[in-house]
Parts: sequence; C-alpha cells; structure tokens
Amino acid sequence: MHPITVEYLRWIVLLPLGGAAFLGITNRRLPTVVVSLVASLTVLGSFLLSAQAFFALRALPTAGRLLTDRVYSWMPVGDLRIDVSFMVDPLTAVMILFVTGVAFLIHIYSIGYMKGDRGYQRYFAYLNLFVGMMLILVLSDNLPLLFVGWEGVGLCSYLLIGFWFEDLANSAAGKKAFLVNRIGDFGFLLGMLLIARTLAGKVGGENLFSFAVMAQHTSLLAPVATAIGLLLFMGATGKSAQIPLFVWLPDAMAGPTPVSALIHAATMVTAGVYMVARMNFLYVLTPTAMAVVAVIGALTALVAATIAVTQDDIKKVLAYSTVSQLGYMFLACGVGAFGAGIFHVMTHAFFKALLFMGAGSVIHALHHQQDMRYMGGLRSKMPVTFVTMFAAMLAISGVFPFAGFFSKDEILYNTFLDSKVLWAIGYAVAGLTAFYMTRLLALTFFGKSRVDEEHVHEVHESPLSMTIPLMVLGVLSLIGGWIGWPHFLGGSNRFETWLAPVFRHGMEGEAMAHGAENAVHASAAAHAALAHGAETAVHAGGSTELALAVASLALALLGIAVGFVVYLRRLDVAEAARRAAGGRLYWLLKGKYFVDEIYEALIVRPGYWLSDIVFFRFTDAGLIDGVLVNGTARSLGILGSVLRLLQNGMLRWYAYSFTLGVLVILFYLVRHL
Amino acid sequence: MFDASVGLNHYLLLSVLLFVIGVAGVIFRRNAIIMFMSIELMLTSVNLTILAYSRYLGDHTGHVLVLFVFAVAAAEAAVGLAILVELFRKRDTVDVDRFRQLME
Amino acid sequence: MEALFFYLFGGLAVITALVTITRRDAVTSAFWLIACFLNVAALFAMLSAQFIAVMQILIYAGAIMVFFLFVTMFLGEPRRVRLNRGRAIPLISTVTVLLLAYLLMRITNTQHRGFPSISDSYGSVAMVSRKLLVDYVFLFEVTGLLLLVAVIGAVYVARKPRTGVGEGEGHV
Repeated sequence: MHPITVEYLRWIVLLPLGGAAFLGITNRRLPTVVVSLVASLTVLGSFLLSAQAFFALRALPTAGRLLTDRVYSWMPVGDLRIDVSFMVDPLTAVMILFVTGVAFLIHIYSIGYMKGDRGYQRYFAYLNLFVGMMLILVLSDNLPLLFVGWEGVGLCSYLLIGFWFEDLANSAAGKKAFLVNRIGDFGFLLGMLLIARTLAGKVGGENLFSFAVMAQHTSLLAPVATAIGLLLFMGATGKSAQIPLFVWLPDAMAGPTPVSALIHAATMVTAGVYMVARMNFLYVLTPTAMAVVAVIGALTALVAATIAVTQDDIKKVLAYSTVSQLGYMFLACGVGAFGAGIFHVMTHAFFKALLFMGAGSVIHALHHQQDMRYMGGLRSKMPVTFVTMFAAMLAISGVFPFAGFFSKDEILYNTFLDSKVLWAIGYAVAGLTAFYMTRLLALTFFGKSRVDEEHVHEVHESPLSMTIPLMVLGVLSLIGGWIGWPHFLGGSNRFETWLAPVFRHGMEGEAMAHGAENAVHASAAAHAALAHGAETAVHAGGSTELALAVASLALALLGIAVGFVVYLRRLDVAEAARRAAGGRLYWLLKGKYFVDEIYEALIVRPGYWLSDIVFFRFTDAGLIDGVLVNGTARSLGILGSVLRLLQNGMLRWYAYSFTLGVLVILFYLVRHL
Repeated sequence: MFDASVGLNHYLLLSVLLFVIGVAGVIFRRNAIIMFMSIELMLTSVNLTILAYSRYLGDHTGHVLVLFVFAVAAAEAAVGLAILVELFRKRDTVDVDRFRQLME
Repeated sequence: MEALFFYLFGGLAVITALVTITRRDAVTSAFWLIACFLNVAALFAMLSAQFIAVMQILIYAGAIMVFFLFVTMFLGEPRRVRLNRGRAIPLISTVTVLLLAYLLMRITNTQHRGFPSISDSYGSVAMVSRKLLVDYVFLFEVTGLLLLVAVIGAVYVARKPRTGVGEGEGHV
C-alpha cells in the first residue's frame, strides 16, 4: 500500500528548530515572557501536530499506517540517494507524542525553575534545539538522518550539561558525556558504513539507508547482521548509557534538573532503545546480537540498581535508576519484545521525568542542596511534590495499577519465556528498584528534618508553573500504563496491538529463530495483534503471566515495606548492612564499582601517556614542531635571509609564494606536454 | 594564429593573458585597492574561461557558475573593502607593505 | 568577421587591463578596469552568453566598480604610492609572472577547437534562469545568504567605532 504524504510532518521538526534559531539569534535581548512563550508554544505546536498525525494514522487501516513527508534530496551521490524525509508509523507516533508532550511539560516547569537565571534565553534556545533534534531522530525515515538527530541531541546534551559552565566540574561533565558518546557513535558510524557496503549497488536508485528499503532486503543483510547489529548497539550503549559506556550519565546530572528530566531520563537516553526497536527487522536475524543486547541490558540494570542503593545525592540515585531502567528496555528488545521495550520507554518517560522534576522541586526549595542526608520531613511542607513523587515511586516500583507495573511486567514475562536467568536478574532488579526508591522518598520526605537551620524556615512548595507539570505527570504515571492493559487481566493490550505492524517482522522472525513453544506464542501474538483474533492462543500463556505479575507485585511491595522500615524505624539495620562483609560490599557499591577509576587507569592514563610521550613529545614536539614547523621556519629563515633584500612587504610575500606554489603545481601538470 | 575562425583555445589564451595581468597586478602593486581590482580582473578572466567552455560544450551550467562567481566577488569586495576602510582609519594608508600584523 | 571582433575586443581588454594595473592613482585604475570589463562583456556576448554579458555590465562594471570608486574616493588617496626601492623584487616577480604565463599557455593552447553550432535560445534569460532556479535553486538561496552575511560583516567591520560601549555580553 502506498504511504500517504502529509506535508505537516516537517513542521513538527521545524517549529522547535525555528524557535531555537529565533531565541539563539536574539539571545539576551528579549523579555522573559516572550522567551517563555516562544519556547513553550513552538513545542506545544509540535505536540498538536503530532497528535494530528497520530489521529490521521489511527484512521487508516492497520496494514497501511504510514505517513511520509519527503522534504528534499539531501545527498544525491551517484547511485546513492539520501533524502531528508520524515515518516510517521505507529512506533514514531508513540515517540513523537510522548517526546513533545513531556517536553512541553518540562518547558512549563523550566519557566519556574530557571526563573532569574542569567542564561534564561540561552537555556530555552538549547532546549528547543534539543526537542527539534530529538524529533528529527524519531521522525527520520533513514539512518543518516537519524544520525543527524542522534548527534544533534548529543550536542544539546553537552551544551546543557555544561550549561553553568563557569563551574569547571560542569563543563568537564559535559565533555565526558560528549567523549563517551563519541566512542559509541564511532560504532554506529561503522555499522552504517557496513550497511552501505553490503547494500551498495544492489538496491537500484533507492535510498539504501531508508528503513523500508533495508527491511525489504533483509536477505542481503543477513550474512553481516550480527556485525551490524553489534556495531549499532555500540552506538546505543553510548547514547543510552549501558555497560560499558554508562559512566557519563551520572555525571550528566551537573546540568539543570529539568534538563536531567527531559534529556537524561525521558527522551534522549531512550534513543538507543528506539534505534534498536526501529532496526528490529535486522536484529531478529541475529540471535547473537540479540543475546548481547539482552545480557548487557540485564547486567546494566543490576549494576546500576545496586549502585543506586548507596548513593546520597538525590539526582545520582535517579541517574543510576535511569541507567537501570534503560537496561530493562534493552533487555526487552534483546528478548524480542520490542513492543514491551517501547512501552517501558513511554511509561518510564512519565514517571522518571516526574521523579526528576520532583527532585528539582525539592532542590529548588532547599537552595540547591542535593544531598539526601540533609533533607527529611519535607512531606508537610511540599505536599504536591510529595504526593506526585510518591505516585512516581509506586509507578517505577511496579505497583498495580500504576504505569510501571504494566510495562515492567510485560518485559519480565517476555524475558521469562526467553531465559530464566535473565528473568531472575530482572526480577531481583525490580525488588532493588522498589527498595532504593523507597529509600529516596523516606530520606527526603519522611522522618525528622535534617535541613540546615538557616534554610529550614524558607522551605516552601514550588510555584504553580512547576507543580502543574508535576500533577499532569503524576496522573500520567497512574493511568499511562492502562493503554497496555494485558490480556490476562481482561484488557486488550491496545499498545501492543498498535505497535504490531512495526514489529511484524520482529515477531515472525523471532518465531523462526526460537523453538516451537515460543513460535506459537509469538506468531499468535502477531496474528492476534493484526486481526484481533486468536485470543485463545494468547490466553494460553495467561496463567504464567498472572503468576509472574503477582510475584513481582509482591516483591515490589516487599521492597517498599523493607525500605520504609529500614529508613524510618531501624536505621541500625542499614548501618549493619553497611558493615556487612567487612564493609567491602558497601565500599564497592558506594564507589560505583570503581568503573570510573578503572577507566581512568586502563584507558585515560595510558591515553594520556600515549598522548604525552608518543603523540606530544615525539610526534608533535619532535617531528612536527622540531622537524616540520621549526624546520620549515628554519629553512624559510635560510631562504628568507637569501631573499631578505627582496622582501619588504609581508602580505605581498604571501601572494608571491602563493604564485610560486601555483607555478610548482603547473610544472607538475605540464611535465608530459 | 590568425585563423579565420575563432575557437575555444583563442578564448582560453585570452583569459590566460588577463589572468596573468591580474597576478602581476597583485604581485607588483602595493596599493591595496589596486590589488583588489587585480583580483577582480583575475575572477573575470576565469569567468571568461568558464563561459568559453560552456559554449564549447553547449551546456548552461557554466552560466550559472559565473553568476555565483559574481555573487562571491561582490561579497568579497564588500568585506575586503570594509576591512580596508577600517585599516585606513587606523593606519591612514592603503600601502600593504605597512601592514605587518600578519608577521605575528 | 567574428575573428575581427574577437581580436578587437580581446586586444582592447588586454590593453585596458595592462593600463589598469600600471596607473598610480586608484581612481584612474578603476575607470580603466571598467573599460576592460566592458570589453570582456562584449566577449561574453560573442560566446552567446547574452544574459551574463548584461549582468557583467550591470553588476560588475556597474555596481561593484562603483563601489570600488566610492571607497577609493572615500579614502581620499592623495598620497602617491612609491615604487619599490628594491631591485630584485621586480626582476624575480617578472620572471615568475612570465613563467606563469608561459605554463598556462602550454596547458591551454593545445589544438584548435572550434565551437559547435547551437540553438538560438542558448544563453537566453529563459535557459539560464531555468538552470539557476530549478536545478541549482538551493545553491541560489545559499548564495543569497552568503551575500547577506557579507553585508552584515562589511557593516560590522566598517562601522564607526562606538565610544563608551557598555559591558554588554553580546558585544565582542
């Protein structure tokens, strides 16, 4: 079926980009009101257009749900044709809706949070640029354009982490994020080049990077699918902060808190998951790469969750929690449940953005105090923040009927079908998550106040512009998961049905890759999704799913209960746990497994050494400076002393040597004539 | 050389002459304004080459290229002369031999 | 007949160019350069590039050179620029220039290549503008941007230095 062309897709991207350009060019010259209006209204416009695209898509028959907008031909090079071209399919529709929606809320929130900051307008220019780039990333219909958005959001992330660049630590954090991402991007680029090499000359006249074209030619890609999948996943580990490249995300908390909420929790870091889901047709060809994705995801989830238990900085806890949840999403993708992964991306965007904004609200009230040891008892002073964050905590812990329950449960169920070991890790992480989130809430809002004496009376609830987004997201954290109400609870899982056409290849490929038992489930899911039929096949797995759901709900409640008991009543237990195993375990976790230190020793130091001795002292100072630069200077000096009498004008000397150079080249050219 | 018909290489030779005169202007003269004019002369000679080849190949692309050269020449003249005006304000001369900041 | 005009305009172009670079006074130079450009415009027309020929006269000989004259007069260059004191520079430069001329001619003067016959519409506004505004429209727009940037840059560089500028951060 022919895709339908709609011209407004480009405006989804152009509105925030235009806002960014406008705000950037007129930096510091506009009144605050105008800045706030331009920034948030452009994003609101994008949101409305996204909603329009969504409804237009929904009106179409299931198989033909595709809207495109080809803007112009970007790189027509010989046979290769790369377009700037946007598309909306069910997957993109979900992404643009929650990206623009959450971004709009965070714009509103930022109006309150950034009030009075010297870089107010710069901040909103960056934020709008980020939204534009993120939308390019998810709307693109081909890999190179996706890469533009990918790099664009990386740039914005860098700019916003180092937003308060007067503090050296902040700009260092920005640089770290940028460099670590660069390592991943290197893999991403190699993956793209491998695709180009594999497909070049075999797909005539079409954009070989377009997802549709690639999906049609999976048979050509199959022999190198593992390599491509792993290389692209390397990019995803950088962007989405997975092992081994997750070290940048906790440092990225140096940026303003709304930025952490939008970029480093809700949207940008999920780009890797989106990319893997978008390339599902490729990943299903390669069980190896899928296994790597799943294992990395599960390990990251576990490692980050254990670190999060020991952190004292409220934003660091949330950062590690984000890394951990991203691990969940990759776990889902790795076991072939792309729909569940994207579902978790969405619900996570709601509750994690909410958690960060709530944390921001607390930090705002406490005059930039981020250490939870100096908080406590804020429940009565900041009721809205408390209630909404509590909702988010229930959501992330996976308590029924909050949003996180549905997505996490779906991931765990699909993992269970694939591998019991990975499921066990995921299950343990679910318990840990409930525990450390409760710890965060208990230390912040309950117990006695440990706030500084001088600030304790100034603590107040945040202004409306900050609390309204909190409330909206609070509601979404509750009901956001209901669209994926599973079959075994009498729902119809409309979310998975909606995404089914995108992951059709995925499900069928998975069916071929796995054994008969799974095949029945997967293909049945595909058919059920497509035709609303074959309900019985899905119900066959219902009892297992129900049992798993009850088990994880019980674990979540246990985690919450333990958290409250330990941190409100029995702090001595926490102290004892800290000293357990000679304090070694605590030391390891508190030190974040010393990953930064290991990288420092293994990569950064040798890198320094290599740069210093080989590149700087030998190559640069010795060869380049000594021989080339100074040598040139010396030889020119000798030449100059010969020509000294002749040379009395510097500029013309340059013009003259220019001509001389041309002469030499001409001599070379005419040597055969 | 004085063939009855004029061909591509006649035009090429002519533009070489104009180009070399331009180069000579840049190298010999110290008056920055005249150097600028010499550069314009070189650009024009290049335009002549492009148009001659366009005519030879019967293709219009060269015409478009020449129009772009016009635009670049205009931009270059605008910025260059603006710099010159500023230099003149500071140094009261347009003798390029007196501008030696590039030595640094 | 065509050959006659070619040698006439070509010869005039070379002579006026030589005169241009040998005048002491920049204003005189500029006028000679305009004369040179007019001759070149005639050559353009002989190459069936009518539109470009007109543009050469309007933009180059007209706008750009008027701009040159304006700046030259604005600077009011009454002082004579002295010739070089050194003797070796003219010598070496002359050798260089002659060598350059020789080599370039070696490259260009291969064998006689006559022009093919072409349709009457070649070089017409319609043909050129179709190329410009259809095939190269993106570059066309970018060029517009380039000119805008150049104008802003020129204004910025040449503007009167303001006194007592505040510590506004937007001011570099």
